[in-house]
Amino acid sequence: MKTPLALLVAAAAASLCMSRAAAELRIITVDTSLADIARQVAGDRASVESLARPSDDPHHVVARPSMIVKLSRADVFARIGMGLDMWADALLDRSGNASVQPGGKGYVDCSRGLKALDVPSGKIDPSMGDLHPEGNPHYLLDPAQGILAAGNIAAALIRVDPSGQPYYHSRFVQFGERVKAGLQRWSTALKGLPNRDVVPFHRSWAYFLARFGLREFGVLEPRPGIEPSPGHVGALARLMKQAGVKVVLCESFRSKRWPDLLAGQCGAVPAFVPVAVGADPQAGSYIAMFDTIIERLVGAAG
Amino acid sequence: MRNLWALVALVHGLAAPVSPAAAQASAPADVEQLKAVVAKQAEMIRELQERLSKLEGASAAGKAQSSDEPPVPAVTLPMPASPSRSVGQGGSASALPDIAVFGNNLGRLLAAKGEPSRSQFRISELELALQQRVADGVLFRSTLAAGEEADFAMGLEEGYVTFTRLGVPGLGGTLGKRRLPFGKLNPIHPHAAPYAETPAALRYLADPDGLSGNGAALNWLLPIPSLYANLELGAVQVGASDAEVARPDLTGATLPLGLGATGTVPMGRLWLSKALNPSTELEMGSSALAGKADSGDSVRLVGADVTLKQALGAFSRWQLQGEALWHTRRDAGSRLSHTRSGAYLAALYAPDQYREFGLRYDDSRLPWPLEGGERLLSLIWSNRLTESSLWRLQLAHGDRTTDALLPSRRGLTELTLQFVWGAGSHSHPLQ
Repeated sequence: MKTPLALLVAAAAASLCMSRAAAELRIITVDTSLADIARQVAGDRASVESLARPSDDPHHVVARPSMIVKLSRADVFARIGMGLDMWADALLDRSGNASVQPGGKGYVDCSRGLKALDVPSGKIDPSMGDLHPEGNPHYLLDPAQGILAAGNIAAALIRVDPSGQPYYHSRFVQFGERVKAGLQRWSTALKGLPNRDVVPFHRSWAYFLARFGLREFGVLEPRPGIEPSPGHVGALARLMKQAGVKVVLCESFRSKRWPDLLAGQCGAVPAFVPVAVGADPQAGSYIAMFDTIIERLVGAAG
Repeated sequence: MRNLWALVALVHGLAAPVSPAAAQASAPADVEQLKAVVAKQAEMIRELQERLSKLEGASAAGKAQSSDEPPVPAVTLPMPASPSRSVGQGGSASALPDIAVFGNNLGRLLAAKGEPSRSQFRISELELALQQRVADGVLFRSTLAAGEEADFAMGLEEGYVTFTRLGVPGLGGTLGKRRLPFGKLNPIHPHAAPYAETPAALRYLADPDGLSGNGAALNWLLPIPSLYANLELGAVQVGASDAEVARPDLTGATLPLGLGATGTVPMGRLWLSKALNPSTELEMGSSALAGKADSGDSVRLVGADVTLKQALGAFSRWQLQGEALWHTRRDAGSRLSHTRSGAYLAALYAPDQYREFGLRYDDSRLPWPLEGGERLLSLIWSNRLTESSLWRLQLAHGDRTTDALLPSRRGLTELTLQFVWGAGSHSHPLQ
């Protein structure tokens, strides 16, 4: 009896020590885009890891126990929030890490300070599809909101590691300037589009379209999260043909079946674009991801 | 253009009080003062014209997107002193807990003659789920359920709080009534399970309605890098299942299906999981609990489970899962122990976010002293309509042999249709 008890006590002591012996900060993010933004801010003062893979849909990540191990040892946890990554809540509950629980100093909801779009009003119900009561959660597809996320992450890093404030602040400002330079470049590239209407697969693009003055002509999903039907696709194709809409915008993790069907019926071109860092060989960073998106969008628009 | 009008107004406004004054001035000192004012105003006008030219130039350059484009967030840090919490972005604040309702409709389209639910499709269970954080590190969950077997009387299926901050990193606790963490499938509510029919081993050896208990448990995430190892130990009060069958000795006595223990029992579970690569995870677990039946018999239930899952794409995935249970009853009179076992092995494949296909093999005996058992092969087809609504078909074929009051038949075929609907915000503990 004494031996198992001694082992348990030793393990408890090891548990306490491990939480204090970290040589560098550990940042865990829900997806790879936030991971890249965190890397830009934290530099070499932290290691960064994403829970989701680049090819995952951020709505539907399968929570796995190995993710709990990562969260249990994290100093900072950064999430997209707004109900997009609810799968992470079960992991947080199990992690036993007070620092990264909501309200903890290492917990970051990167949507903090966002002026949300598509906030539903009145009563909503499941017949309307998978609506998010707090608004459209795909704000990271507006590169400018990457600055907001970076600021929230930098603030958490300073809470956890106050001595690094000048370093994090400086890197945050540098990241902000790179995004601003990118915004000039991307705006210029999109200025010449012959038709500013696009048809996305899912309503992920509200922030992106608003940023670059593009318009959502229609959506391939009849309602968020609901599978398209041939009837809906046919009706949408007729309207697109009449209006001369040429671009179907689709996240690269989705099946090509419906976008190809729609594009084939109206002579449009599907643009399959990465929406997470690493989802495409060209999308190696948050900024490179937008270079790829814009390049493919302009290419599809002809 | 607005800037231009502002400039005109400004110049006009500045000039107006000066001109009458200048008309009345006659002294040289006044003339000099007036010259100084005019020079100053001329300088101001030059500066304003420069600013106007710059603004007009910038406006022309960004005309395509300037009017409706949202502002770029300032590159300034938010206040780091206040940790962020998830709060509503645009909705109104609410102090209500998350509320969700689920309905589980089951129909036996094909079943053996004598099966009460044959050729019927009706609601089997309605669940009202409430959950909310009640304090930092304290979360409550409750499920009120009305089931067909209890004439839809509403009862507490689950009501418990979890504690995530108990001082030692990785240590948490649970207090209250819940479906026990015995294996992989038992903690899952019927509406969230990937099957229309619960595997026979769980129905016969654990509890037909899910093994639940009321008590306290501690769970500890063992500090082993790169391996998830969670140990849960607790003591819970369990009750006999409502589902009873007659004893085979024809004495008229009945025996509950499932565990058969009542009162407070110790329970434990060790759950291990290892990521083989970013897409593949191997999980293994063992669970045990032991107690006493009303008759004084000692009862013990031991389980082992293994799950291998791989995500292929964003939505496509497959999973192989198996559980085995050993139910041991030690007769108080004869002091003889009798062990009965059961298991299931299931393969599930989801090609996209809407559909899932499965194949499951069940093989289980009934707990002693009941004789017989069930051996079935099932095909499962699930089609998801929304995040919380789906329909499912489960076609089972095999043998159900027993001398108790169960529909007994060799070569039986059953087709079960399930329709699950749900509304409201809800999340489940990780399984």
